[in-house]
Amino acid sequence: MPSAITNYQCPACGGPLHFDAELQKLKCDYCGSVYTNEEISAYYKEKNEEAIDVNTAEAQADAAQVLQWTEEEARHMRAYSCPSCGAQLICDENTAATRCPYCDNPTIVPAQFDGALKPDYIIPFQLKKEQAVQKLREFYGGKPLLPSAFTRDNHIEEIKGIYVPFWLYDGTARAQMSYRGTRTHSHHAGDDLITVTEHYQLNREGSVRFNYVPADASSKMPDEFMDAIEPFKYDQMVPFEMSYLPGYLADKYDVSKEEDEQRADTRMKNTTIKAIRATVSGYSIVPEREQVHIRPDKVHYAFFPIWMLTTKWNDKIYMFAMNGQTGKMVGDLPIDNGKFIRYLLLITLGIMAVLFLLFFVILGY
Amino acid sequence: MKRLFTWLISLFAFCSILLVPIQADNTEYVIDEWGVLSEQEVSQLNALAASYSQAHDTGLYIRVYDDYYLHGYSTIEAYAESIYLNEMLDDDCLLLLITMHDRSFDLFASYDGKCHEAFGSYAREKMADILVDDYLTNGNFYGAFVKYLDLADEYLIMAENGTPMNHENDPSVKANRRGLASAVTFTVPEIIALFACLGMRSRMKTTGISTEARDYIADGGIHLTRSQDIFLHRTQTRTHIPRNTGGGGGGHGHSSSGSFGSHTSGHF
Repeated sequence: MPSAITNYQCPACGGPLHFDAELQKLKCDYCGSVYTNEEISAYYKEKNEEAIDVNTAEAQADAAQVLQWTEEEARHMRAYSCPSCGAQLICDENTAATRCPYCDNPTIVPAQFDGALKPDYIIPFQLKKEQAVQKLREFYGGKPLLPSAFTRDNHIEEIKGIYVPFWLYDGTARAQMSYRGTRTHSHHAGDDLITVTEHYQLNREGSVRFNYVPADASSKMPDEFMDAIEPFKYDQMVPFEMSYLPGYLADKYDVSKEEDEQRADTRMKNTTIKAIRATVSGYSIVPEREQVHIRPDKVHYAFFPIWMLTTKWNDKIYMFAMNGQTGKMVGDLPIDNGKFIRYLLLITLGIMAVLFLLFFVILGY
Repeated sequence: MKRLFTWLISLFAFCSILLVPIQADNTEYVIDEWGVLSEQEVSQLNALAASYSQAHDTGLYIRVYDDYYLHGYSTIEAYAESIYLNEMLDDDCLLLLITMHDRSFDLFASYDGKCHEAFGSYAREKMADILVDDYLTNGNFYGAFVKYLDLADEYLIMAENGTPMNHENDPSVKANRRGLASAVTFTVPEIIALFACLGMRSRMKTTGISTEARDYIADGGIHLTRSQDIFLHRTQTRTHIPRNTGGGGGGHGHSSSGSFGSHTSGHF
């Protein structure tokens, strides 16, 4: 019976395949065989098509039956049977790529990429897991306010390579702006200071074209992390293939492009206002009217690579995210308030000592 | 007999010494031909000037005359130098000359002796500022002359102690400088430390919502279709900045070098 999921296994030995960020190809964990994305896509094309045809409702019903959940609980979960080992995989309704917890085979749910759900683009992982861990250690460096015990005692709880769904918005912002501007100059006439102020009406109209303004399409990913981890280099963005996913996790979107549109529109609007305002120079200005209308264009659906790391320290979980393409690391580190006060005092006393020496000993004030 | 004669001569010499009165200092340190001072004030100032002059072995003089031009001099400085020569002032002296016709003053310090060191341009200009601002512009001539003598005494003491009045040794400048240095020493470090520590703290938080999309502007994406700067009108304000005139206080002197001494002169 066809399965709703596909295991990406090595055609040579049947071992699990994963997408190697360094080679930019699929590599077998067991025999080391290397395959291109095109080879594996062609190899698994038929199986993927069969998996899509498997009734999703059947997967949903399986979950409810197996786990005896309520209808509400089962509505958001899916149960799949691993084609390699037959184990039951219970996943979120949005899970698109995962690993079988029993046989560790990379598992793809082709139905999550069918038709309108198929991403337009993907940026493959460029950095490996080991590099993510190394980057995290470097991230700790040069942070004097970090509690000493944190770097010593924290341990990485989990590292996950995740393809995060994003909406990429194209659009044109049309702006109509008007300002009151003044120019002032002064000169002396005898004992009087003459100040002349020229008043202007400044009008600007124009448009700004934007391409691929990103907004993450997953409610599970904190927006402040996904925004901070930008920018992604779009020159490495390629048309989507499922063969980029083995070895990583992926969820399809659960925030629609209509829901995310406001985020992108706000960014475009703010940038347009600043860009048009920058064309006014030589004046002190007060805005009178700043109207921006966004004319939406295409919306693209893409998967971007993120390494998510969680550490635990003092019974608190700290989350860090690394851009799987550029290596940019973001996350909020704990602050040692005692160190903050000590540094404050140390720097104050140090500078005070230097100034005291300079003024009262060397210069003899 | 011879012994008796010798004893009588010695007694006579001794008595002569006792009987000869001590020569009083009859130098006219203060001359006021214009009449800004009363006789008593002249007398008091003379005594004060004599006291300070003898204490420092210099001459401290005050002259109030009508007009240097009437005496055939084109500048007050030239007139002061002629007074120095013709009135037989001490070689080592300080002279305050005032001509009332045009309310000019000159502080003359001779090159000879300690006055040249004690009353350099800084000391003379400082003295001139005090005399003009606090006394002469108010018509308080007696107060000005007492202050002149007191300041002269003070500056001579400083010079004798090896720290003549100048910018480095001026107690008021030193006090201001010390005050400023203290303020900088005890406030600037806190501000720098706070900025540094807040900067370190800000590096601990790297997440945040993006509000702009500058990185996603398409090539050639900014296209201005209308740019209009329309002149509306002009406004003008006039602010009067009062100047410090000579009569209103602040008649500072300017310094120069003469043939026999240095000068600081001006108007009040």
